[in-house]
Order: sequence, then C-alpha cells, then structure tokens
Amino acid sequence: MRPPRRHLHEVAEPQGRESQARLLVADDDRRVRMLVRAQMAGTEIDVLEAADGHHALLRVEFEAPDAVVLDWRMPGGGLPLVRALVGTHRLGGRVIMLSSIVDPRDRLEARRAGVARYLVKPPDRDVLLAAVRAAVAHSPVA
Amino acid sequence: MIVRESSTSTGLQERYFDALEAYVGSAEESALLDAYELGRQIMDSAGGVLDLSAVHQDAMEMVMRRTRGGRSRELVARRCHEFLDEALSPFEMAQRGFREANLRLVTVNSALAHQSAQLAAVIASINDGLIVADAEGAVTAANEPAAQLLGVRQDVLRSGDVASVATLLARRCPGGEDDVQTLRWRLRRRDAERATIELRLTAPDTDLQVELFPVRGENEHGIGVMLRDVTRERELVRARDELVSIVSHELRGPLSNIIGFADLLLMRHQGNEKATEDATIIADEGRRLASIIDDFLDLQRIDRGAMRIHRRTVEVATILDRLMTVVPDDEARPLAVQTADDVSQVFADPERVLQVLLNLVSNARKYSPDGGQVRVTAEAGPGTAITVTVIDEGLGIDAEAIPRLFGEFYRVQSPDRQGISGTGLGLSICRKIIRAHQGEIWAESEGPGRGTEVHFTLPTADPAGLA
Repeated sequence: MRPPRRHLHEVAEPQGRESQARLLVADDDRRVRMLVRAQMAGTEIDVLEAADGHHALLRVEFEAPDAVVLDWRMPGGGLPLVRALVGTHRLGGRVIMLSSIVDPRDRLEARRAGVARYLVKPPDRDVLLAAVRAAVAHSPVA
Repeated sequence: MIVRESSTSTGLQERYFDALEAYVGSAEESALLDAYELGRQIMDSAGGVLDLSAVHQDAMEMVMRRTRGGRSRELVARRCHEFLDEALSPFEMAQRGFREANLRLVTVNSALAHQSAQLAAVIASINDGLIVADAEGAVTAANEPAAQLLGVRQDVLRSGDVASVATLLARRCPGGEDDVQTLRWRLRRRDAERATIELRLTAPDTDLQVELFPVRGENEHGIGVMLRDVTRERELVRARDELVSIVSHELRGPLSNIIGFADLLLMRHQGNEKATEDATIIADEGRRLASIIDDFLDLQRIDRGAMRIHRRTVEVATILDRLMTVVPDDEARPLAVQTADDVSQVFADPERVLQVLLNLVSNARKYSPDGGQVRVTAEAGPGTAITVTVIDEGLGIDAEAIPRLFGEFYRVQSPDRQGISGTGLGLSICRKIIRAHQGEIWAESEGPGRGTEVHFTLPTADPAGLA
C-alpha cells in the first residue's frame, strides 16, 4: 500500500502536537522513503519526503524539519546536500546518512562533510528511530 | 772517489761506463761503490723513472767493444752481469716496484673509470627518475627521467641542491602543501629513514611517488630520491574503486529494499503464521546475501589496502600508545600493554599495524565471554625482528583448528561460540597485512578454556634496504 503523497501546502501547516518532530527523508528511491515512513509510523516522528537534493533544500528552506535522513547517491548528490544543510541551514548534528556504501573511507568522508550518524541500508527500525530521536534532540551550537 | 757534479745525464752515463769498465778490469770494491753512487745519481737526475737497465745495457756493450786482448767476451759479460746484480739491484728492484705499482694504479684507475661509467649508464637507463645527493645536499647524479618528471633541464638539476626537488614540486602540487613540506624537511635533514610520499601533480596531471632512501658512505650519508610516475596504476585503482563502489550500490540498494519490505511484512502481519514464516525466509536470505556482498567488498578493500602499505621506521611504543587511546573501554576485559626494554623501532605502516592490533584485541575480547585481562606485549626477536603478542584468558582454541584459523571465511565451530558473530575474515585480513610487512602471524593455545596467544613479527629495518 502506497501512502498518500504530501504536498508542500499540506505539510506547511503547523503540526498538531508540540511533541511531534519532523524528519525529512531525501532519497531518489521511492521505496526507501516508503520504508522509512512505515518505520516511523506510530511514533512522534512525521516524515517529509524529497526525491533529490534540490527538492530537499526547498523543503528545508520552507518547512524547517528537525532532522534529515539522506542518501549518498541521488540527483544533486548526497555530500553537497550535507554541506549545504550543515553550512547554510545550521543542521549540524541533525543529519543522518542512510547509504548502501559500506566502505569505512566513505563513512569518514561523510563524517567530515558533517554527517552526525552514518547508517547502512536497510535501516533497522530501532537503530534508525534512536538515531532520529538523537538528531531531533541535538541542540544547535550557538 | 768523489763524483763530480754533472748537469747532464749523458755525462753521468759516460762516467758510469768508465766505472763499469774499471770494475770489469779490477773487480775492486771501490770501483763497485763508484758505480753504485753514479747509478744513484742517474736515477735521481731522471726523477727516479729512468730505465737504468737500459743505461747499463749501453754501458755493457761499450765495455765489450773496448775489450781487447786475452780476456774472453764471456768473462766480461759475466762481470757486467755480476755488477748489475750486486751493485744496481737495489735500484732496479725499486724501479721495478715502482713500475708494478704504476701498472697496478693504471689498472685500478681504468677499473674505477669503467665502474663509474657503468654506474652512470645504469642511472641513465633507469626508467624512473633518480637523484643522488651527498652529505651536504649537493646533487651528484640525476638522470633524464628525473629532469623530465620535475620539468627542469638535467644540467640545472645536477648543479643544484637536493631540496630544490621540493621547490620544483610545490609549484605543481596545489592542495598537497603539507606533503611537499614533509618532503622538503626530509630532503634538508637527509635523515637515514626510508620514506615514500605520494603527490598528485598538475600540469600535466601526474601521480608521482617519491621514495627517499639513505645512501650510506663510511662516515656520512647522502640521500637518494626515486621519482616514479604511478599515474596509470593509480588510474586503474581509481577505476576499480569506482566499479566496486557502483556494484556495491547497485546490488545493495535493491537488496536493502527486499530486506526492509520483508521486515515491514513481518511487522504488519503479526499473527498470520504462514505469512510470518515466508517473510522471515525472505528477510533472512536477503541478509545472508547482503553479508556475502559485504564480505566480498571487504576482501576487495583489503587487497587494495595491501597495495597501500606505507612503511617507515616507527617506534613500537608509539603504536601501542595509540592502541590504548583508540581501544574502546571494557571493564570486564581490561587491556594492558607491555614493551620490553630492548624493543625500539620497527619498519612498518603504523596505521596497518594498529588495524591488526585492534582486530586481535577485539577478537580476544569477543572470545572472552566471561571477561579477563587482554595483554599486548612487544619483545625483541627472533633474529632482528620484533614479536608482538596479544594474550587473552578466553575460550582458547582446539589444536586442530589452529592451522586453519587464518584462512578466509574460516570460523571455529563449538557450542560456546554460538551467538558470537563474525565474518571469518578478520584474521585473514591480519595475515595479509602482516605478510605485506614481510612478517609472520600465528596463534597458540593450550586448548579450549585456556586462553589464546596470537603472535606476529615485524622487521626492524627495511629487508630490501641498503643497510
């Protein structure tokens, strides 16, 4: 079952409960976005989706999510998006890379670019949820 | 008789003839001494290099011609020879010695010239760039490939200081300032350590491997610089890395979705026994396939890693200090490090050795489910090598399993190991790294329940070095 796609004007509405947090999932693979959305279902995490780096930046700009989960390889590139999120949008500590790439050197490169947590696909629900909660709770450095 | 001073050797020769004639006629001691003194003067006047036997030959012929009367020519000739033997042999011996020494000198000289030409030809014919400098840093030899790689004329390179190599490279190495600075520093210091530095140059794009090695003399040492263009090798490695990375992503991506959605099915169909069973099989098989892909990628990475071992002379204590700082805390399995007094340096890549140690310590802890100390020791020997040992008080290993321990994908099977996960690759990775250092790695255990010791050796100096 495919969840209904949300549009900009819909999710721009303020969230109902104070405790809700918003997570942006940026991945060009719709199935990965579906999976993360399903894994976050029933928790305090609301999921926004973006299919590429450009779309992700737009959503961050206008909807200010609390945390971002993103893919390494997608149109626009994962690492440039990380740098923009951490540099321009002050999301340091709130960016999680969810990638198929298992090479430790790539992990290191992602860390250097500003990724707070690096997870390998497929995401384990509990591990992902814990990482997202930690990212949401991260207080920005003044 | 007092010999008159004579400015010409011809006069001396005449008088030598006379003295010889007098001796032949009388065989008296005084005639002998006169001739002896004249002979010395002839030698002196010619700077010690006159062939006295030729002068004597002339004198003998003259005496023979002058001989008249009853005495036979044979007697005269015998006397003349006696004279030469008795009176002049010291001179002739000295001269012969001098001639032989001279001859030997000429031979040695030509051998040296030959060797020198041969060495120059070898340096010139090496495909890689080679620069040799003396203890003061002045370049004593540089071949054409070195000049080409540095983009400078060979004669300019030969007349300069070896540190100018770093200056020439600095212009073409944007972003590599630190590496160039290290190179400059090492060239200036001309230290006895071998070192390899790799630089990515522009204009034209080149991967350059710079190898520094000491050129040892009796009391002082110079430095040698080997410049190797490794662009093609690095391009191949980059292409392979790219391919491996793409394959990893292309296989892992869809597989991740299979596993993820199988898990989702499991979550959503709790209570439906048949659906749960089927989804579990899909998820488990997916994970098995994923771990096989990951293992394959691990092996690829290690084979790449073996090519990138950068060895240098490094303190053992430095590596062990780093081990202590990077090893995670484990109160039940504390780590203790001990270095023997006679252990100082090894010739190794400290990062790789640390990787091996981390792997061994992690194993030691993993197979000590009931806790226990893990000790790392470093001792001198066997031979000039250093032996590092990781000792635990854990499950131990059955004697039969020990020889297979370092093979790929091998894992010891026993009930007490159930639930301890691993890929069966760790120790084979360690062995690859240690063998790339010309070292050896082996395990010892007194049997199940009695702990394990893993030993590995590292050379203290470059086995292929000039030392």
